[in-house]
Amino acid sequence: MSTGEWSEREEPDIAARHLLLCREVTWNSADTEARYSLLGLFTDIRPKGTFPLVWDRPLYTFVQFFGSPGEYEVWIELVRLVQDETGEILDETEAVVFGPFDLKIATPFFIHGRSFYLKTVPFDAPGLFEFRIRVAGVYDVLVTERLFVEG
Amino acid sequence: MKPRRQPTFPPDMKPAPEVFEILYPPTEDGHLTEEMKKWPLVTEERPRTLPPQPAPSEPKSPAQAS
Repeated sequence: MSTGEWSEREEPDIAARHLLLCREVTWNSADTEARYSLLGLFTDIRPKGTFPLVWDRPLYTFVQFFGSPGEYEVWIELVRLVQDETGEILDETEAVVFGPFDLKIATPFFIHGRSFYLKTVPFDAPGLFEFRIRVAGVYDVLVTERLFVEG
Repeated sequence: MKPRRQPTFPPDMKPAPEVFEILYPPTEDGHLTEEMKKWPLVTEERPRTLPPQPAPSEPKSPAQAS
């Protein structure tokens, strides 16, 4: 695994923001200023069926990365946040992990958009779920997005 | 406690000019446990029920309006 300029004493210099969930991401190489188009942004879904279930509809994550040049290994975690009746988060379930995905940042001072198509996403129960972007060698989660799955 | 990363773009950043390997193929089912593979696949959403809307008011005719 290559992790850019990472050493044992220093984490890779990579960050991310703008994690969004949507139904489709299209790519237009002819439009050099705005290559990505995100279609069908959503923050909650209502699966027709009983839990547990596996969601088998297009679910794209779109992330913007930036940082030092290098090759990185990206993972996406999904957990359900266990809440009490007031909504306070008490615990979380064991993470479902997608990846790894290779990410190359070739040039400093540039933003790199990336889309990851997650197929067959398991939901053990209705509730509040959280997607987390992690990079190998980086302790902190880079960015998160929540999805409410209605029962 | 470790300070949290502040993901703020530096002011001189701009979109990468040479990124082409963008759209990954869909993930396979390696993330599913053997138990999860037995769960039903769901492809449909339940319809949303909208709150009742007020009935639109009838437009007044010119004679009524005057």
